[in-house]
Amino acid sequence: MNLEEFKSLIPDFLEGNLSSQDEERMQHFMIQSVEAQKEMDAYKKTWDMLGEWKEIEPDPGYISRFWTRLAQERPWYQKFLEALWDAISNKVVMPVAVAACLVVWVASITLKTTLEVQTTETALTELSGEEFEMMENLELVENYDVIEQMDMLEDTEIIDSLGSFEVS
Amino acid sequence: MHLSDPDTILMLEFQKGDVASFETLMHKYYARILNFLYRFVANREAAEDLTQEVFIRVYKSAATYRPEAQLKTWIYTIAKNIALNELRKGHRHFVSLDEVLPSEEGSFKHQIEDRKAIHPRRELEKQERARAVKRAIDELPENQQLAVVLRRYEDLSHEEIAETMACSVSAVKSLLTRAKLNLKVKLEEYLKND
Repeated sequence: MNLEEFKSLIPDFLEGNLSSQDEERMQHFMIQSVEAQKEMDAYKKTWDMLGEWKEIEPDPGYISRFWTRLAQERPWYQKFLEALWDAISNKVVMPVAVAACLVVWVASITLKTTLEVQTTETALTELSGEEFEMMENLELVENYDVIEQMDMLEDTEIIDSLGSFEVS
Repeated sequence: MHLSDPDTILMLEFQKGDVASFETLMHKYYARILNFLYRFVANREAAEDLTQEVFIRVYKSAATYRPEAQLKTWIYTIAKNIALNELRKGHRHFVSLDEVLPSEEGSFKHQIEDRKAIHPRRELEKQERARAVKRAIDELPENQQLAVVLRRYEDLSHEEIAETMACSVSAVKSLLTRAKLNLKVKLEEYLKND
């Protein structure tokens, strides 16, 4: 081995790319050559020198900044669905929510019925005697137009004629 | 399968809805990913911003994670993709001569403000060497740069780098070999002063 060959093999030697035979040749040459030792030393110093570019420390509070940024990145519907899912999957919240929905539903129906009854009662108390009588015969009043158009006398004549026809 | 890997277990727990497991993973990897990205963008604010982006992607992709991949390399792969996107967008922050890089004994600014500082000249030299290292790494081809950062600063094995970079172990070794040669040439003048 000569110095040029030694130099060309140093990076591979340092990365463990060489065969054990080549490694032995290099180590043997290095013992004999001061230049080879210097060259090997230069590579090691270069690698060590990279350590002079020091690390930096993270700013404190990076975790909370992360959660804030993550929350800002999510669209509103995703946030809503997540909140909904959380509520649904919560073993305590879910039965309470169902019970609350039932109470609201029953209460709203009861309130609606009560209001309707109250309105009807109020309206009835405000009616005059004549209007009240009409209310009692509400069906007749509703069909008043039809009844008015009926010609009762004409119908009687037809009935009478039907009777005479039978006699004859 | 990496079911014996504690990080994988944490991720699987997070998949089941355990947010505390995700925070544990963040505590473990945040500083590492921050520094990994810092080696590419060389700007603290940009690196912080991109690190947050990495963990948002990890959070959102958690459901798709399968323990076939080692969690560490999975996170580094996400970070690598973000770093490369940033480099390709041209958002690399080149080191200016005035920029103060972090060093072992604190920033130079702090040193000159401190009247008790004994070795401001030495600190200046360290700053200059750190800038030279940064420039030398910046000037490497993209894949050599990635391999060097993952090996030298993140201490990943050849196998882990290969998994992160989606290439073979021999390709990683070859990249590192060429990178070491390039770095030696670029930093030679600083080594003479040692």
